[in-house]
Amino acid sequence: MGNQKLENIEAIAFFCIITFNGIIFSTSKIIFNESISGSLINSVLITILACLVVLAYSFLLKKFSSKNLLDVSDYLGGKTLRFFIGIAFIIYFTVRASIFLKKISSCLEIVYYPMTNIIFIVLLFIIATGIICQFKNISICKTAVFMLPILFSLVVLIFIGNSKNFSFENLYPLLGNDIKTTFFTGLSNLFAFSGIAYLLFLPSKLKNPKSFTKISLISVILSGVFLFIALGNILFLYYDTIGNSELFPLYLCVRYIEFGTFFQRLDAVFLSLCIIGAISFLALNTYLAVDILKNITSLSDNRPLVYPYLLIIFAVALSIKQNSTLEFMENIVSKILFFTIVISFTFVVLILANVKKKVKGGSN
Amino acid sequence: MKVALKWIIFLISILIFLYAFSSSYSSESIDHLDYIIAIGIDSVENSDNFEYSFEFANISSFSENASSEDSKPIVNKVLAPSISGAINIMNSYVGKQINLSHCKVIIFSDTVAQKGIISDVASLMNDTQIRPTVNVLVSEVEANKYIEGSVSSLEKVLTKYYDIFPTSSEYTGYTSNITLEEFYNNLTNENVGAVAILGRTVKSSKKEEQSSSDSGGSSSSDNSSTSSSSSESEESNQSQESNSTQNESQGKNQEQNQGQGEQQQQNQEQSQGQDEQQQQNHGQNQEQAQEQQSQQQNQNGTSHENPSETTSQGQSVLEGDRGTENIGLCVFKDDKDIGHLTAIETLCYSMIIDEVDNFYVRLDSPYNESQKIDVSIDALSSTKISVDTSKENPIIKIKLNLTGETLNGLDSLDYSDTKVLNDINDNLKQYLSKEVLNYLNKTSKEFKVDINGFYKKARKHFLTLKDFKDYNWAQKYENAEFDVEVNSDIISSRLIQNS
Repeated sequence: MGNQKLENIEAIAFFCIITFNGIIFSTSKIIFNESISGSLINSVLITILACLVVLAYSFLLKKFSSKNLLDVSDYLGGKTLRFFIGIAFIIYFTVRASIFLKKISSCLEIVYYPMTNIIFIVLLFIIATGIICQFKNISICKTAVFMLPILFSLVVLIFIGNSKNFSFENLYPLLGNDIKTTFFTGLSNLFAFSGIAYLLFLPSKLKNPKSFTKISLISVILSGVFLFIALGNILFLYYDTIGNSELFPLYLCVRYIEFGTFFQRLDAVFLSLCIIGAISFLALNTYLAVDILKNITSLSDNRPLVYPYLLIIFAVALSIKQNSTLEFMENIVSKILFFTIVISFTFVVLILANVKKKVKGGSN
Repeated sequence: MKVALKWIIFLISILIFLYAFSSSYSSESIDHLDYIIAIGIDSVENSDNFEYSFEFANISSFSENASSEDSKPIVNKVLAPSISGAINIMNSYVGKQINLSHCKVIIFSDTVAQKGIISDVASLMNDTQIRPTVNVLVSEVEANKYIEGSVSSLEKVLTKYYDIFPTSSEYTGYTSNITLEEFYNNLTNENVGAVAILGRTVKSSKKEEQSSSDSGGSSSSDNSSTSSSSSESEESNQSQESNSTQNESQGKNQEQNQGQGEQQQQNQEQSQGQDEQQQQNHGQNQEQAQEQQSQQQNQNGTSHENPSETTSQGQSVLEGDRGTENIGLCVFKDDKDIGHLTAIETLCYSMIIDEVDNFYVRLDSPYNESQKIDVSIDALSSTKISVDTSKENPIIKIKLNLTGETLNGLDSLDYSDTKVLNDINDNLKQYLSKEVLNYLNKTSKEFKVDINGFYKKARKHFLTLKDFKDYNWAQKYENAEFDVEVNSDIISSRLIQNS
């Protein structure tokens, strides 16, 4: 796994693939269950909030041109803080990847492999990710660039294909369950933009670090549009009857699509594309986690870390036995980790680093 | 050495995965599967079990050389307490694993539907093999009789028939394309009632041949009573055909009512072990509907002549190769069948939900009541519905936009005259407004359930779901007021302007 610099489009794809996969497999369902008819308004609100967050990060990172969060932590608190921040983010990435892996494997087990032990399904993803991570980082990002339009057009096509089944009145009542859920507690759905966590490590990998703000904003807006369409699909089709389904809602939406009597059962095509998207997500996640691990341990090569790291994901994914545990991990643990590590820790570190820089008068 | 090691690891991995996935592959392999195309659910007297009928796809009937005899359905039945148990037992019986991914229709008998069906519907919804687009049907006769009667030489491939028959709703309005997902959603939604396609048997030459050959068969008391009731309805149809005058038709209506009453008595006798209260309610609903219908027919000289009304509930005007028909809808409240919609009521339902594109009605001539005019109606634009929730009771305004063409030329009428067309148009408006209003009153006052989903329009007036829940739509709908406006325009008489 090399460390070649990324083009702007590759960085955008990096962010979007992480967020898109999260939206497809879990966050869209969480937002929908919370806000129901208010979920579209909620998605607009959290997109605006995500834009503000990435603009704030861009502003705070401005004085640390081409430096990522680890370098800023190093500047602020030395190697200890660097190590602490690095481990915190690795934990976050591992938990997210494990939940994601368990989710897609369970779905495949239910739909296609009822007689196969889930270990083998999880193992297939782990091996595929491991093989991909042996290639250079640029290959992984280029795959993301390839998958980005596919996933985006997929959700648009689901919208078009399902439009005859839509009931646009499901948009009402506009504010959903209640005002508090849609406008206040609903803001916690910002964690749908989980790509923000990965964004913080990108400045040092960019060919043109000055474009960081532009990249961040474009990525968030694209993800916001994706989230809006995905939620529209679910809302106009289901209203309030999807909450207890173990399968992810967009898959359930695809099952409705029929173009005459010839093109039916497009869910198989959708799932196969989702699998490629999921492997792309796991590869990007592994690449970044291993890269952080390499940086905090000062190793010269990160390749030997790939399989041990994947083994941890494998073990965590399999340790989630019950669906209720998975829901708890998705709804509670994932949210807490996001707001603690990605928002709170990061803001504190960046603000203090800026203060330090100001006090020291700009010297590194 | 390194390369050799890599190859060994690669081959071992492949072998492991081949072994691991082979069990799922073999269970899903096409050679190991039997495809179900329809499931029928019937009640069993004095038992908690149900009789599940599985109709299997007859692969030989798919071939070009298949003869009409090949289209005889393969139906296996099993007694089980639930659909999951039935599938399990059937799996062991047929040897292969049964697969529901090609299932097209789920049929509940009327008696099962009256007991409550949420458990089976939820089980089916929870099955990943079942498509959400599967149709749900309630049969007035036993579900297995319906399945057996659904064979026709006109369409040897039964899956195709099951696929196509609900689409007739678009050009007749006598049925509706009710899918499992929609049915389940409505069944679990406290604001609305669910509807299912209503099916029944008709006089079939094929069936008669079969019954004569199977005379020694073990038909249950249910079967015999059902066939007698259907023969009664057939007799009443024959009498219908012979009657032509208005007075005679009134007498015919009375006969029909009597026939209905007898039929209900028989049904009540059949289901002694069932919830009697519910049965009575259902019976009352049917009687009220029948009374309303006969009153309406007596008042309006036009209506009894409409094909949509001659095909009212429990009475078939059909006889033919296929032993079943799908006309009308079955209404559910709290997962229980509470009554049926006749053909004309189903047409009103279809018009309101914008499902029907084209249909026919027969009107009195505006100048001579003994002369009838057939009119073809097309939906000009989607139905406009608004709900006013500002007052104590909701006011539901429905605006139908239709256009029509006369189909038969009459000696006395000159269709090139605008006044003639306007007069026919007025008749049409009056007739449709009345029918739609009767239908809506039946849903609110008799069934006490919103089956058209007006609550979706009402939700617009609320900011949050909590406010809407507090409004209690389900209860308010019982006192809803309706304002029906029909905007129709008879625009042409096609080829004949005057004859």
